[in-house]
Amino acid sequence: MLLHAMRDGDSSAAGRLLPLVYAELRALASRRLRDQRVGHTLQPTALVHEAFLKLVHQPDGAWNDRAHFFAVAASAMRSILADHARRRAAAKRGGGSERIGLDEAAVGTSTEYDVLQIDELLQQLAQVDPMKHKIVEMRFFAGMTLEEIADVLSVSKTTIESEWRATRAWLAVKLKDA
Amino acid sequence: MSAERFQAAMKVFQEVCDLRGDARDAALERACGSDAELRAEVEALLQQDGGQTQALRVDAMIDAPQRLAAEIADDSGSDIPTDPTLPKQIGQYRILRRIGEGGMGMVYEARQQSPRRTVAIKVLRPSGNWSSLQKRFEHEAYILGRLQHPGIAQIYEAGRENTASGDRLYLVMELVRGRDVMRYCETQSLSVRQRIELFIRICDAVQHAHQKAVIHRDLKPANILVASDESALRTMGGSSAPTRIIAPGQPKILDFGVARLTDSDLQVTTVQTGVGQLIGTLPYMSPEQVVGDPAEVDTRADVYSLGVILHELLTGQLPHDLRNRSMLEAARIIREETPARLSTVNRALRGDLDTIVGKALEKEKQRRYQSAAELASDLRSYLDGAPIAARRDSRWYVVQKTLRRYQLVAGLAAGLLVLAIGSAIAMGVLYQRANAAAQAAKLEAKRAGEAEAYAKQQMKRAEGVSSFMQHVLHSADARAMGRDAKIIDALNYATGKIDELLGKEPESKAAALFALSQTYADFGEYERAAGYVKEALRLQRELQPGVTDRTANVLLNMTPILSNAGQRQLAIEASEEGLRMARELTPPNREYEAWALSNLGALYADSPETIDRGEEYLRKSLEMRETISNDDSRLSAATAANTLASLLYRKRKYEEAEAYALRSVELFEAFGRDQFHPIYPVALNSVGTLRAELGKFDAARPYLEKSLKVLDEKYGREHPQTMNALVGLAQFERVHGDPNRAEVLYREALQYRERVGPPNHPQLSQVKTGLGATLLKLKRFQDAEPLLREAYEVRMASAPREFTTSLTKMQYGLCLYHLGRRDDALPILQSGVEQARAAERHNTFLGHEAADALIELMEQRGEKDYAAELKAHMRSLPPIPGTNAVSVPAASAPASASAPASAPILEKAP
Repeated sequence: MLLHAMRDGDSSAAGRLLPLVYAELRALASRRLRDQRVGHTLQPTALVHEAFLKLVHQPDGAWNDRAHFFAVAASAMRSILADHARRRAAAKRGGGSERIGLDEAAVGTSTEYDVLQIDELLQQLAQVDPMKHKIVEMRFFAGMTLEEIADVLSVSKTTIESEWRATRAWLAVKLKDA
Repeated sequence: MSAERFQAAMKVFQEVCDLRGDARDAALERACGSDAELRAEVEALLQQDGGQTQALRVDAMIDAPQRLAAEIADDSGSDIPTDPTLPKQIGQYRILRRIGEGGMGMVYEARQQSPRRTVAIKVLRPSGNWSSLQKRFEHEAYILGRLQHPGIAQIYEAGRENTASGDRLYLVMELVRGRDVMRYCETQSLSVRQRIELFIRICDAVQHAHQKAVIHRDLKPANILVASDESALRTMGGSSAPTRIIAPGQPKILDFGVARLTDSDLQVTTVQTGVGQLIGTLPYMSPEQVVGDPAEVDTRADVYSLGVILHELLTGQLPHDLRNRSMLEAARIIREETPARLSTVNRALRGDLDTIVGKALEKEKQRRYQSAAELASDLRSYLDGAPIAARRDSRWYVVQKTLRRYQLVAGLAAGLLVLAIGSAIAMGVLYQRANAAAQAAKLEAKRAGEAEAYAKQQMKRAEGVSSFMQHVLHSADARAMGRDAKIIDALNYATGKIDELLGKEPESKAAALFALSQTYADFGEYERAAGYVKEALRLQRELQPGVTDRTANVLLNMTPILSNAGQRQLAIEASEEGLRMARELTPPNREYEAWALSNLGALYADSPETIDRGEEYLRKSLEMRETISNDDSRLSAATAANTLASLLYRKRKYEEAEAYALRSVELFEAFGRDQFHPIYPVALNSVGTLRAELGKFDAARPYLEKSLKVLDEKYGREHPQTMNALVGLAQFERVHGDPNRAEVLYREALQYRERVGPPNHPQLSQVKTGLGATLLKLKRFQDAEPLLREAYEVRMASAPREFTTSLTKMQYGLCLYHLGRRDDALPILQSGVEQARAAERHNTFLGHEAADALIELMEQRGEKDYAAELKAHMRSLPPIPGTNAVSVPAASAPASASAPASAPILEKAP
């Protein structure tokens, strides 16, 4: 089973499913949310859940485990958001004719840069500690709780809490240095 | 960054982050030694640990993707090249302006030359899979062409045009100007009747479409426009044009864009919409649409959506609050949760309307109105005051639904819930173990096969319990057993099969026996419950000898059952053993300990010899629970505080009791509105009763009223507990407050009691006495007489020696006295006064008033000695103590709701 393959560290199992989830999330983000009415804000959690709802109906039955899906979806969400932030940042640097006030600029872009920074930091983290990397990914990009993450990674909640606390401190140090 | 350095720093951080001051320094020293760089790194990490600026920035990241995702959504329109300028002409239509964007493309307002009129044109967006879109577009045109109804936006033409940028498809339709139906109702301030009339017209239009085999599938207020007066006039163009007058107030349904044909076109549509694709806007979607199976969606899905719209039209709210829910959660709610009843939003809407909306919103389409016409017909009946076809859920069906959902819903027979919860707990335990076994399997690879087999076995046992429970439910088929089937009959039938079904699986059997005992207990069959729980305990001890969590759990759960079965000593022993186990477990289970202490406290409190010990245990339990910070514990603390209040009340320590009752209320309220606990209204009532006891009448009233309100909301007006609270408040008003208000409350209670209870029920005579006494106080003696006489007769026939009967006698006697029927009054007053005096509970306002009247009558009759003795005795009494002779629950008529609960409250589950 794919889930077990993934729990046991077969990263290609996730890799095989990633494009599917990526495509679905991307399509969802662009299609569904455009004509949303006021008060119906988009949340990554909602996106991921909706993608889940749709993909569980895949005829090949690849999604037999919710936790598994969310792990893959978190990865996909990260790529989507980072790509987007990168494009936006490039467009802004590319000098549109529009000038915006300093405060507005700061407010408008800080999120994007944070996403890019986090993306970079996550790449570093993936090299040195894949588990912490996964935790951050799921926390940030699939909106999962620590309990849910513990469930997916099959470790105790205490472990996840301790890992998250340390990682959080590390991210904070790095963000400060940057 | 090297992995080793990183890991090392992280490891040290995790070791020291919970230490403070010197201990932390020492640990750092030990871990880092001479590695100054490592130490610096860890210290930097520690600095960022917990709530400082940079850390906050990390936490903000949890929201950042949300904002970004929203931006993607805004941006994505630009991925698709669209013509920024307005086309001048499409076909024979001159484009006037853009109206909006639909699911399929742009919508324009345009002018047609012949016939001369203003129309709406939908133009297909040139992107995506062109041929499939084209097919779908033509399909939509075809469907719409078949629909001709004043309530449906009319289609005029479907066209195709070659342009420089390729083919363009367009659909020409009636232009509807108006507001969406919700906003229309609000701006026109329509009454409930007008809203229903409007809604019936919507139903008629939907029915028309259904008859043409067209399902809308996306009915929602945004798709239903209503032309207001002024816009109706402007709908058409020049005066010479063949005008199509839209009557003001005529609703028009738009956008059959996602509709599909129910007949032969099924195949086409399946391809078009895609299996599992969610169409429509979630809050209006039927459960079968949420599941995403197109084969399940039929015209009754529209009936459901109509139900949601009607609910919203009548209350301004959606039946399910889906705000801030994830899609998955929202889908689950739509599929599983019972929608809010109209009457909980607006009490004026209870009754038939509530039933009608409820029927339209049934989860199972077979139980819904089978067509929009049926729904409209019931609404018409309602408007005409005729009986409706939908009848309220039978009680049995409610129960069945509850069981199926395995969820705690306040206000339903608690026993059934325990059955569900009990088995859910049992299964939970088994699943947990199965999981643990799976973990063990991973750790010990060589024993993996074995452990997995064990895990499977555990799963099987859990399924065994589950299927047994299903068997219980199945055998209780309402149709087979008739409408008045009682779950207890089903239980009796099914439990006979427990050995047959689970004989070979002792663990499942123990779990099932345990669940059964809880259920029987809730039906008040304590002896049977005690038998089953003892058997469950025996099996449990065999399966897991010694001190175990599960055994302690069974012991603590059996305490209230044994106590109720009259086996007080055994109950105490069970909790004492549970207490010992809780302390001997490794690690000791503090929650169980607190639970055992509160059980024991309640048991000991029950007897005057041990009441002090009970107080001590309860205090200890409460103290422990306030330090355990989880929800269960805080709830238990709230319950324990109320029990303690009740105990202190019995010890007449009213001030302290009041403080604990208040504490209980506070603890419950800390959980917020959604978390209802059955003891919460009891605690509110406790505060009110205690304050009345202390003479703080104005401070008491809000609590009594709140208690009534909470019960009303959660259980409904007619629930016995609500009625008891109503009577309690009436009594309070009669004695300490406004007798006019008391009369209103009593009359409502009387109406209810006369309807539901047997004619001679003591609670009925209690209400009659209360109402009679109120009228007496209002000096309406003629009105009071028949009520008090009847109550007097019932009491004399059923319980002439009970103390409370003396109260009825005195009231009735006084009434006769004031009516001038002195000869009738005397013997009754005499009997009442003497009875109260014998019970030494005559030093009350009522007692004095009755005695004064009696003295007067006796003097007139020449019984000077009797009168003198009574007079002297009454004068010798101390001042009337507080007011308790009237407001103490025990002194009022039987079965009053007045709390503090006089029975010990034993908890069922931790």
